[in-house]
This record gives sequence, C-alpha cells and structure tokens, in this order.
Amino acid sequence: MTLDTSTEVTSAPPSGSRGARARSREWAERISRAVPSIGLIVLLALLWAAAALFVPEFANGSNLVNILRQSADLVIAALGVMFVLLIGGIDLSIGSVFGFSSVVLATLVFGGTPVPLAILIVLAVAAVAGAVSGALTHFGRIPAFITTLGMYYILFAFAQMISNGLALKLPPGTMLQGLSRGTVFGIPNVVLVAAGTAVVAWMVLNRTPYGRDVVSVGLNRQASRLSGLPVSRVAVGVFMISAVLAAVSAILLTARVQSGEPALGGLTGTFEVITAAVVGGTSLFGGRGTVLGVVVGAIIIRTIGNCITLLDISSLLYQTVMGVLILIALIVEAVRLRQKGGVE
Amino acid sequence: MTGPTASAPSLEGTAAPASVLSAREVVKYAYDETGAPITGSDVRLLKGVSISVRPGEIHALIGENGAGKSTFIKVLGGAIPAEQGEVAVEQQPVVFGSSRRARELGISVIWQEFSLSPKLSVLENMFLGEEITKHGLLDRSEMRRRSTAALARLGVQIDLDRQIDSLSTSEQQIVEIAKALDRDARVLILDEPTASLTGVEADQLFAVVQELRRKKLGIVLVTHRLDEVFEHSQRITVMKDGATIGTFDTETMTRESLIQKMVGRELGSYFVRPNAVAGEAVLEVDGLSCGRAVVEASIVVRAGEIVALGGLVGAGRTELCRLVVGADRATAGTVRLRGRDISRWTLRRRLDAGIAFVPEDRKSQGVVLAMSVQRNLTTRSWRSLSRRGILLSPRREQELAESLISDLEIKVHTPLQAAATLSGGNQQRVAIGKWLVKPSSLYIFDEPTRGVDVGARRALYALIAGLVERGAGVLMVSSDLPEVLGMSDRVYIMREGRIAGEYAAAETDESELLRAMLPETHAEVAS
Repeated sequence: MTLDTSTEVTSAPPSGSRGARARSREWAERISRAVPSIGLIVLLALLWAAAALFVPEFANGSNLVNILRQSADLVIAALGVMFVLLIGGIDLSIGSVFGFSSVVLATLVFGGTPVPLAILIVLAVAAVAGAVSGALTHFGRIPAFITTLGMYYILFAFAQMISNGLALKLPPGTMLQGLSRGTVFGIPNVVLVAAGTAVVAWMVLNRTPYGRDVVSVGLNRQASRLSGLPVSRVAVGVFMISAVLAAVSAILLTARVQSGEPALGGLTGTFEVITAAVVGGTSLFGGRGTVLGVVVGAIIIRTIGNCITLLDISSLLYQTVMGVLILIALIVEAVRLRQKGGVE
Repeated sequence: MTGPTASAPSLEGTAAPASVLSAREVVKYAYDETGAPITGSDVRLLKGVSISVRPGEIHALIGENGAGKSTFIKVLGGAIPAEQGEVAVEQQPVVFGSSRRARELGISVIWQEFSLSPKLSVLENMFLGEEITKHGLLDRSEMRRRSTAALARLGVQIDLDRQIDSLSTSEQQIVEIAKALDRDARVLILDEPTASLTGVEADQLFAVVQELRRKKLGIVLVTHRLDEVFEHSQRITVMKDGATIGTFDTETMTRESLIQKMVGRELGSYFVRPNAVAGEAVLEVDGLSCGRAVVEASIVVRAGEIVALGGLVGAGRTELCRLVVGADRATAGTVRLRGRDISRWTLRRRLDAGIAFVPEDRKSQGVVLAMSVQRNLTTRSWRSLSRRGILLSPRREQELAESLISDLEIKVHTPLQAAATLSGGNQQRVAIGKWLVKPSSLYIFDEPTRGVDVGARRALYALIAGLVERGAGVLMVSSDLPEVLGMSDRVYIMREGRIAGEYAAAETDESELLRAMLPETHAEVAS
C-alpha cells in the first residue's frame, strides 16, 4: 500500500471501479438467469387479465382458489419430471404411475391398512418402479423413452389387474377425505402440499450437493463422471424422484375423487405433466430448468383448462391447446439454442 | 472501394509490397447475456486490430490466450460480425459476418476443430455440399480429377477413397487445405494447426504450407509454438488484450524479445523445476493391458517426482491414464496407489482415494462449459461444503471459488459467468483448480499445456512444481519434448500401446526420445 507508489497511484482507480463492476456483473448474471421465470409470471398475469375480461365467472375469488387447487397435483408431478428432464432424460410412465398408485392406495385402505402406512407403501412402490426405469436406462444403456414407455404399460396392466378395471370407492371417513377438503387459514391443504413440495424441490436443486450433481450431469455427463460425481446415483435417482412425486400427485387426486381410479392419468396425463415442465422453461436437452418456472408452467396449463371448462368448449380443444403450447415452448428453446450457438 | 487501402500506409513500410489481405482497426464488442453489446472501450474483445499479409509470406499471429486471436480470425473468416473496421482481400472489401463472401474472395480458414465429416471419404469431403454435377448426376470423375490436382499441387498423395477418420490429423488438415486450394483460396488462415500434431506430422504439414507460400498465397499462422514461428514465418504480428502490439520481421526478433512483446514482461527460466526429492512409490502399474490400445504397461511414479509420458499421438498414453484412474476397464494387470491394490475400484473411489485427473480435452471432459466458473471449481467440494452433507452453504461455496480464482489468477468478470465464456488457458486453470481444494497423492495431467500460451504455461509449470514440492507424484502426458525434458525427472516413452523405454530426463535428449517414439522399421525387427 505504501511502497511502490507509482503503480499504486495509476492502478488504484481502475481496480476500485473494477470491484464495483464485478459486483454489478454478478447481479446482471443473477437477473439474467431469472428473466425466463419472470417472463413466465408476466405471461400468467396477462393470461389471467385476458381471462378476466373475456371469460365470465373467471375473475371470481373462489374460481381463482379453484385454479390453484386444480394446479396442485400438476405442479407436484411436473416438478418430479423436471429432475428427469434436467439430465436429458424423459419419463413417459408418469401417467400410469397415477392410475397404479391410486388403485394400490384404495385397495390398501379398503382392506383396512391405516392411511399413513398405505401412503408410505404407495410411495415406496413408486420409488421401486422409478428405480427400475432408471437402472434399465442407465446401466442397460436403453433410451429412457423406451424403458419408461415399457414401465408405463407394465404399471397400466398391474392397475387393471388389481382393480379389474373398475373404480374402487374409498370407505367414508378416512383421513384422505380431510386431506382433500380441508384448509389451513383458508388455503386448501392440497395447495399447501404443492407449495411444500416446491420449496423442498427448490432446496434440493439449489442448495444440496445432489441438486448440483443433477445439473452438472445434465450439462455434461462425461466431464461430471471424470470429476468424480456420482453419475449412477443421479441417473437412477431422478427417475425415483419423478415416480415418487407422481405418486404424491396421485394420492391427492385419489383423495379428491374419493376412489381408486385405474384410468387416472393415462398417456394424456403423461403429456400434460411434461407439457407443464416444458412450458415452465425446462429444456428437453438437459441441464436447464427452474422450480419457479415449472410451478408457473403448471398453473398456466390449469388456467387454460379452467377457461375452456367455463366457456363450455369441447375438451378436445384443451388437448389441441396443449399440443400447440408444447410446440411453442420447444420452438422457443430451439431458437434460444441456435442464438447461443451463434454468439459463442 | 480503394479508399481504405490508400489511407493505410502508416501501418506498413513505405516500400512494402501490396498486401493480399489487409484488416484495419477491427473492433468487436463483447455481448452480455441478453445479447446487448457492452460498449465500454476497455471491455471490447477487439480494440482496433490491424494486420497486413503479403502474397507469398507466412505471417505468424501470436499472443497469449485471451489476446483475441481466435476472435480476430473468426472476423477475418466472416464467421462472426465486427462493429467497426475494414477487411479487404486485394482491395475487395469483405462483408462482416458473411463467411460465404469471405470464401468467394478467397479467404479460407482451417479451424482447429475440423469441418470434415469423419465417416465420409476424402473425395466426398472435398465437395461436400458443393458437389459437381453433370446432367443432374454426380460427376465423380471430374471431382476426382480436381481433388487429385489440388493434392498434387500440394505435393502430397492421399487415397481419395479413404474414410476421413482413418487419416492422421495432419492428413485431415491437408485435405482441408486441398479443399481450400481447389476453391482458389488467396489467403489461408491456419488456427493452431500443429496443436495436436506430433513432430513428424507437423513437418509434413509445413512442407505443404511452404509449397503454398511459393504459390504466392498469403498465409496467416496462429500458433503458440515459437519454434514454428522462427522456423517458418517471415513476419509476426503480436496481439495482446484485444489489440495489436505490432508487426515485426521475424529476422529481427529473438525468442526472448518476442515473449516479452507477448507478455509485456521478462521471463526468467521458462520451466519451473520443483525442489523435491523422490520418495516412496505413489503409483505402481504392473502389466496393465486393454485390448491393443495398452499392452502390458508397467510404470512407477514416486512422491515428489514428475514423470512424463511421451509418445506419438495414438501410442496409448491417454488410454493408459484412463485405465489408471478407472475411466476405462483394464483386461489385465494391477494398479497400486500408495501400496494399495485399487485395480478393482470404481473411478469415483479411486478419485476420492487421492488421484486427480485433468483430461486432455478440456472442453468436453475437463470442464462443464455451460456451468458457472464457480460451480466448476467447487465440483469436488460440494459435499464438504455442506452441513452434514445435506445443505450447501452458498457463502462458503463462493468464498472457496473466489480464493481459487485469485490463487490461480483466472480472469473472470464474476464467478457466476459460464466457463464457456473463458479463454482456453483460463478454462484449463478451472479444470485444474477443482483438484486443488483437497490435496491428492497423484496428479495425472494429459497434455496440460496444449493450446495454452507462454505466460500461462509458466504459471501452470509453477503450479505443477508446487504440487510435487508438497509431496504429490505427477504423471504428465506431453507431446512437447522441450517440456518433457524441462519439467520431468523421468520419462516413459510409449509406442504402439507398449512402454518402449524409460529415461532419466537429465541423461537423455530430444533425439533419443524421438527415436524411441517412432515405429520400428522392418530392418530393426529382423535384427
């Protein structure tokens, strides 16, 4: 500080301003990363404003709560599939994890198993199914598209066999009823469960070594492996997360309809969940996805569904809109990747 | 159209011959994450770069990593646009950002990453996308004639029906050059052409380049190898921090004076010899084999010792390293780390037990390009940065990253920027930095200084010497013989998958090592 005055004097002002610039660069970096999520929130706000103007009954307090209630199951399942998408995989089995979990839960509860135990069993079974998909994909080097489509049909068949293809009504008065209908300070329980899931998912993704591993493996599997990251644990684990969160989602749906439904979900269900994640800015090429984005993506989809119901238009239109949405999201992604390639 | 060249005399001597390629005051902005230009004059990627290349000269373009050489030749080749300045070929202006226009005017760039299709033949690659047709059908005989003619002009013979990936790297480059020649290139820009070549291959390439020089092409040679600059170039343009320092006649320069221009400071001894005594064996490899890539290789690396692994490209050096760390599975043999047999351990377990591995290809294996510098540096520390291994402390993570960034002098705007935005030498420091948090017993570096400039090289050597002084053993793959002799204590030479010899670095020389690398001739086999 005291010696070497000649260089100190000349270099001090630029180095001082560089410190300030480094800090502003850091903020610029953080803000630019949040831009996609902020954009989605703006999109949702515009959607709600437009719906309030053109859809009768939309801007009604109970309808808005209703949308959030309906979004809960989609948010949870989409957060699950986000982890698979983050490593560049895909999980087509979600739709039948819904029906299968629903049937298993109802059968257990009907047979007298205490509800908490039944829920644990359902989650454990889903985890096993996810582990099988993940292990086949990772160790067997089979594309996830194929293993999870296989798992879809296996679970679909199990659900049909267990239930004989029929809905199984839940006995009245179980705690599953309270779960679905209850509220805390006016907020529906299911919304709280979804919010809790989102917070945990955010913590896992952003504040745990495992979340770091997932993103790194998704961006470059080879470099991650050579850095000593537990690639197998990531590659199998994300499918377990996806299946378990799909099962959580199925438990909420089962509680809502108060019966075990083998037809819950289906391929449409799979499609809806993946659409929510992709509309929420999750890349199908791996490495990119945010919890906030996925949550907003799921709410956008349920809002559109809500409007279509209120306007009493054919539900086929809903599927058309889904298809258009996923195409738009993918085009945006493709354009983004191309631009990025151009700059580098 | 003649304006720019008329006003350019200040750059060259008054009686200078006309230039075939001239670029004046090229300015290129950096862009932020949103794609908006950052206009501040001190953060520009190019701050007014000029060059003038005469017909029939090899013009070396040199500078440290991050000096802007790559960006500049991308602008010259029309791969990316620039904001200001002029580029012209024989007074014909080049349109910025149009590689097609640049090609039409005769600028051909041979990039470090080839644009050839590996699974197609030489002939198919010569006319890929620009096939010659006759009556709507491919005119193979015409394409064959022209390809043969182009290769003949270079004085080489390559079978046109061979698949590209069966050619050596230098042969692939020659195919690219022949392709450029067939399209009447006036200016040939070579982007570090010898970075992945062995000495023999480089000689083959320069024979071709000298041939082009006699044919009055202007040749721009981007390189880090000063030997090449002095041996082959007539003039040298030095870049530093996005600006041109100047253009010099090669005859008037010495190695030292050139290095000084590049780094702006004196270099002491180029290599950094560690002050350490070899101790116990850290790594003992015995009879390790994997197919024909590695055959019964046995080596020892001791604590406090740098062991170099030399050989031609494809001799099995990288493969041997990968077997040692467990990235690939050996078919026979044992690997011991500090006396413990780790032959059956997984990659992860070996790394955790104290092997650090910095792979050859940093862009695809050394770093995760799309991930931030911070996360790349802390990759091996996420678990130790977490309370009870669960929740990570972002503050401690950032502190760790910042201390590594300042220790290794990595040039970043913020630790959060993507590793892809760094220059090659800085990326290499990130790739190494993640292994420095927790000391390892054995460090394996595969071509650590490839594509790294002089100043940064010296810093890397000092870093490696420091590791050895702290008691680690280092195994270093290198194709650079002065580096092998300057840095290592012992040298193993690999040839066709086998260890062909072991030498004490102090008692051998380049020619002996080179002889050991070259494949045996039939006469030698017979005797």
